[in-house]
Amino acid sequence: MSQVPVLEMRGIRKSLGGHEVLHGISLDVPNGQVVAVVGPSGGGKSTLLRCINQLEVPDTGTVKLDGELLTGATPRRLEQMRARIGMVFQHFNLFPHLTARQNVTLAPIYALGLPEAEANERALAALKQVGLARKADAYPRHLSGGQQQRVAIARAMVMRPRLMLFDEPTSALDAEMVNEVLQVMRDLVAEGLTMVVVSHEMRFVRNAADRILFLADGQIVEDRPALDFLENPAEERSIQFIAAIR
Amino acid sequence: MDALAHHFFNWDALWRSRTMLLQGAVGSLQLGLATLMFAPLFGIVVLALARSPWAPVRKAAEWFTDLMRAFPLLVFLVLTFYLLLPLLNLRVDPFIAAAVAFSLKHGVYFAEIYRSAWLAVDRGQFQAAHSLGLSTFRTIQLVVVPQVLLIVLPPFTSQATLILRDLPLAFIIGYFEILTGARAAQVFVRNASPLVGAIIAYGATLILLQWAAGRVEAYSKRRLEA
Repeated sequence: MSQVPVLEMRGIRKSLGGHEVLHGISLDVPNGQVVAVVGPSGGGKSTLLRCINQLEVPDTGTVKLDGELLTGATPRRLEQMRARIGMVFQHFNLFPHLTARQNVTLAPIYALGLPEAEANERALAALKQVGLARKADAYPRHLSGGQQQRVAIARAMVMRPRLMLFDEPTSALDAEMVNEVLQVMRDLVAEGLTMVVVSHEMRFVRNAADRILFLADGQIVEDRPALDFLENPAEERSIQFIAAIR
Repeated sequence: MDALAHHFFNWDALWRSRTMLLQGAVGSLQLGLATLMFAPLFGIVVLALARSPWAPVRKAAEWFTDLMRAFPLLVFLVLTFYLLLPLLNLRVDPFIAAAVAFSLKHGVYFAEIYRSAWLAVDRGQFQAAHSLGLSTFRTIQLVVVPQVLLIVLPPFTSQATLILRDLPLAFIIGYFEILTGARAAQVFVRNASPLVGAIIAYGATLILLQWAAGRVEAYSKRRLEA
């Protein structure tokens, strides 16, 4: 079919607090590809992710989803496009005053305008997919960190996104909970979902990612197939980074 | 010992002063309710002015807040009664003066309560809501306001306790509240028991409210735990 990439970024620059964090990033992500963004902290990984769904508005450059411009879209259009980009945060960011089910149904009802019954049906399916159907009526405070993050993934997946963004989804978790979250993410990879993942879980990156973007000092230092990068890093900084995380 | 009981814990004297005590209690209740209604509303106004895009308005709100904090309530009551109401061409009535003074003074504290509650909502909540495609209006309505209400509840209750604690000060402008009533009754029955009765009733209400504030705080904390 069409060769339009799901995500297309051109010349993205972004300054935060007078300091330029991204120095002109360009990136295409074709349908079904899983891109891992790795690199030292402070390198701009999170900012890059936030520039995709305009949580951070880039100073210059364009972002397109399925060929349609996100940058400069009207507020109404931006909301509609954000609804097609799922995002999972490091600290889950579940809504603490709502149950797991309500967390998941909120956007289908109020952003997509689905009837409540249908939203509920979809929510239960999404919670089942992350193995938490029986926790549907629990509040976030009654869930472990791993469970909360799985609810957060269900909350994003219920929107049937074209693109999923993961911002260090396991960094805030205790070691024994990391795997349950990674397993859910592997399932999504198996479904052929297009994903951009910021992660330090190199085993996951090695097995699940098609491609690795090594980001340092606001620039893409390397952009190569995952295994190729991990086994033969070309640049000095990548070599150091891989040595450090081993 | 008998003399002590006779002068301070005399049921007969207490019974004979029931009308005055009741009138005083009703006075306290009316003033308390009026303040509880208008001070939180006025707090919203103060907060809105303090966040106005127009700098002189912000400055004025800031000055007003500082002024209200600096003035002792007693002085402000007198000022309102003898100066503010006549200047504003309002009916000079102790109830109106007390309600206005209490609402203005406590209003700035409510404004502060709202402001810190708004700031206490984690920025990640806005980001999560926006990332789901929710509009700013829906985000505020469905995600932020419910949390702000939960956060506001405990300081709101303790501010209500503070209002109750301040009520007797209205005596300075001749407002008839429970302690004024008790002192009048004390003269009337020539016995201190009405005063003791009023103090016990007053203290019991305060302790009850404080207990309620503690419960509310525990509830809010439980609901907001992430």
